[in-house]
Amino acid sequence: MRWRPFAKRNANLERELQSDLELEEEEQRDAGLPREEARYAALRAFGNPTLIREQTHEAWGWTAVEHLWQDLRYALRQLQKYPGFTAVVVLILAVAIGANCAIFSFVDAVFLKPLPVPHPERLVRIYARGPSGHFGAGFSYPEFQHIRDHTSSFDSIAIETERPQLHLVLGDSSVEIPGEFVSASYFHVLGVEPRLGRGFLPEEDAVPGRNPVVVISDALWNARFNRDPAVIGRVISINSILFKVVGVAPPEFYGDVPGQPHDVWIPAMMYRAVGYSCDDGSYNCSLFDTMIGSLAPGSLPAQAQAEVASVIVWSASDWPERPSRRQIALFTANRSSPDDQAENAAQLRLLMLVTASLLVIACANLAGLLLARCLTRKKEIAVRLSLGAAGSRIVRQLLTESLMLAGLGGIAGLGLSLVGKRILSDFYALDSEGFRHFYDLRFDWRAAAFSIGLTMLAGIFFGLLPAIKAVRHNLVTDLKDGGAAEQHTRGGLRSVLVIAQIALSIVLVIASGLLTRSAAKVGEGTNFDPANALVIRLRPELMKYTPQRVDALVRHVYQRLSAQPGIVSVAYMQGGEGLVWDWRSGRDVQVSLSPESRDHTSGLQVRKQDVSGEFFRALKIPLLQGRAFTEHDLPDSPLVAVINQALARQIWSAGNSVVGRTLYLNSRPYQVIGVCADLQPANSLYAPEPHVYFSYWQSNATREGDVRLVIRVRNDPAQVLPMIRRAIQSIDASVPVGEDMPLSVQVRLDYMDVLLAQRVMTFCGLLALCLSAMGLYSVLAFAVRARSLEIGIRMALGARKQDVLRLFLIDGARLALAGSAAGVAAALVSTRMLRTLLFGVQPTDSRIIAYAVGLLVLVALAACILPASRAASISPMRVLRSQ
Amino acid sequence: MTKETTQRMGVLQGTLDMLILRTLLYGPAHGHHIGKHIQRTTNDFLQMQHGSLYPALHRLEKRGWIVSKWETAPDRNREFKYYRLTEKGRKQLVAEESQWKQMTEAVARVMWPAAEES
Repeated sequence: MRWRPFAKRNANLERELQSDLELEEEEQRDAGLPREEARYAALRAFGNPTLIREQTHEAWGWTAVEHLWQDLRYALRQLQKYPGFTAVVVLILAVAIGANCAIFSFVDAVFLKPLPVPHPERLVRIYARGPSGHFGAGFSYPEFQHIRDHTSSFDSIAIETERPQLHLVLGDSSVEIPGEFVSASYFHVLGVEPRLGRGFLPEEDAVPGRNPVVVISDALWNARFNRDPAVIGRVISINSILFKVVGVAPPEFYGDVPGQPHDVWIPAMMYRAVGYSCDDGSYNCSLFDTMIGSLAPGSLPAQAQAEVASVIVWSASDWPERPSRRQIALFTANRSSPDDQAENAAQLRLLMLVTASLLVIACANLAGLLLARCLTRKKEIAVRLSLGAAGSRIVRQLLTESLMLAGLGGIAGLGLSLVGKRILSDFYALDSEGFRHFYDLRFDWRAAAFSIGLTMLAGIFFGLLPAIKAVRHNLVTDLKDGGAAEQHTRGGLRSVLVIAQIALSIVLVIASGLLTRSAAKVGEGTNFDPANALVIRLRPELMKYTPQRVDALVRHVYQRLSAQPGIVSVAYMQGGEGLVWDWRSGRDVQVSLSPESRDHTSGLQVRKQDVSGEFFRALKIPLLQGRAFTEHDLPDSPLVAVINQALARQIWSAGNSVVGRTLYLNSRPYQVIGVCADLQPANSLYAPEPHVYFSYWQSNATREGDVRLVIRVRNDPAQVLPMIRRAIQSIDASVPVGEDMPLSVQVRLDYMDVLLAQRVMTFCGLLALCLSAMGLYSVLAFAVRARSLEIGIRMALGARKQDVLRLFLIDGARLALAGSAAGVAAALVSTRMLRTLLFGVQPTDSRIIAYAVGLLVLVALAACILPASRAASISPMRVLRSQ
Repeated sequence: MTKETTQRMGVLQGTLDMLILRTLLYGPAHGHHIGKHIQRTTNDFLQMQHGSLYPALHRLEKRGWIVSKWETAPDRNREFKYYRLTEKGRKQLVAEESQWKQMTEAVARVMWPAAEES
């Protein structure tokens, strides 16, 4: 195979040189020289044709390309010559690069990809930053109107707020959907044209409650309306209000926050109608999360922020004392809120770090392999060097070879990253409330640049060192069939590489051990038993239930379910947004130890939940002191409370009995009848929150918010679920039922970050362990081959088989122990990074470290046995004869 | 070797281009012709293997100072690759020539100051 342009040019040059030589020859003959003589004279006068050819090529300026072409062809031949080696290298690289690319696709989706709108670069999001530094202080509608009417930095601006609790009823099926309330300008600001129908008209967002219209997502259109174009104009019920569908969003538009797709968009003026407004029914409190604006041509985000900050008139009624305690913060709009971002960033940083370590280990491993191979090619390289090949040329050629390997690995890695992406997006598919997540993981130029860059980097990383080593040989000894003494120096470099691999692997293995323990700890529940249990959320408030009706419903459901076979116990509870064991759960209230102190300073902020008597039994929460609620704790009997250990410890010093004491909520005395264990998994960063439980039937709550049924079943909860759903629907089919999944699943979803980190870490850790074992094996195997003469002599002089075996096992053990020591030291420093993810285990858990080292030593031993026993089976006679 | 260099010199680095361009000022010529001409004109003082012309010729062609074409020689029945000076090459020759002159004059002033004054 030749490259055409060169072939033609070369022929041309050849002809020219030939004709010159012939002319010269003719002239020499004319001068009287005989034919043979004339030819040599002509050559003498002309010079070295090969040199001239090369110099002329250089004059063409194509030498680099030409050399590259040669190198590529040579590299390809080399790879074909050793298909096994090539396959192993490509496989190792593919896994390492694939893992990195898969994680990167999430980094891309969460942080880098622009929003799926025509001009994402012009969009900015405006936040109100609260005094505590978070970005969710929110805006009131009048504040939005003022900014809209008094700034010139924006072409258009919209206000929006996310509301996951929307309940869609279609015929006899109902579903909870995430959606947003937006001002009429929303789609215009984003430049999004609905694929069917239209966006909102200005007059549809002018009068509170007047225009029940909705734009639905393509996904919802697909899932619930079978892509029926007649959906426009159809009437659907959301939170028991009838809305008319006016538009369907285009398929690529999932919303304006990566990872949080919305299914419906509703005019802000309908907010109150579906049940959300300020206490006085107005929109004058900070109801709305953010504003999103499209910058006018020529205006910059910083200017826009300054302008908004200068014109805003803070008026939200819920920030009465010092309205200006909120500050304007403006960001480019292609990301989630800065608060969410910080959380995502920590997680993704960890995952990227882990997969990057895997790649480093893989590269160190491959560098070792290539070093070994360069030694076997030593003679070939020495011959080429002695024939005058430039060292730089050989380095370049070897580097081309490793880059080509890396390229193949990169391509295979991209293939594997598809699998990785699938696994990761399954992981992220649902949150613990049962809402789906969506990340746009499609391959884009950023992902391409990342994977190409990574591949090149890897190729240079594992290829450069061996290549440089290869040309730094002593030509004479190499040509004389390599002295054994000199092997040791290069063995040294490879040993360092192996030690580095082992050290990094140990860190990953320890980290995966810690995370595995933590995930198990979280999954088994902290002082409650998630197995065979369900916590199902009812939202009667969305159906405008009165408190009396809520109570009646709960009683009914309780009776109906208690009678079902297979159900062990049923309890119910109210208050809070999250899950029972979640420290976010419960409603914040102030409790104090004296009836008078109602001011905010002497009270203690605690979480409160109203629970029925069987709550503790249904979840198997241990009561440490006293008793739980009974059916006798009714509104007319003395008020009672159960507190958790964290609260008991905070209010009363340990040792004294807490039962029988009194605490006050809103000056009403509650007698403490029991102390239960803390449900929240704690670690050094998250201490258990103080919690107080009141009797459901004594609470004077207005029955606002979610009611949760806590159900313990005898067998698989997933199988009872349909029956439970039917039982609830037989009482009122319209009541929204959510979080309908086994409790164990919900716990897993709630600690997704721990679980995901654990999976990725374990995957990378095991792989790293295998790679280290491979590295160790190849170093020892090579040493055995290089030292076979020495072994032969030793054995001839009387060394026994087990002596030789021990010799190599000790060599291997030395490497393994050196690596382990370095790795444990590194782990002691670096596992602190996992602190937020570790529950029930310390970052420096000595048992896990010991297990990890033990595992590594076992693996190392296995890797050493084969080469060592091969050394021991060397026949001294044969070796001595062959050398 | 040493003895030879005292009598004859290799072409000075960088002057070969100028010599080629100057030679082509007489009209188109092929490689062998150019080499012979330079050698003959300097009375064989400039020691040069004409093979070494070719890298220079190709370099000049790449810069656009000369162009080449395979043509049949007027006196023979065979084709040669003729090089021809371009307009750009002409300008380049003028520039190099004046530069060379300046340099030799400068060198002369250092070497023979008295001769310069008299």
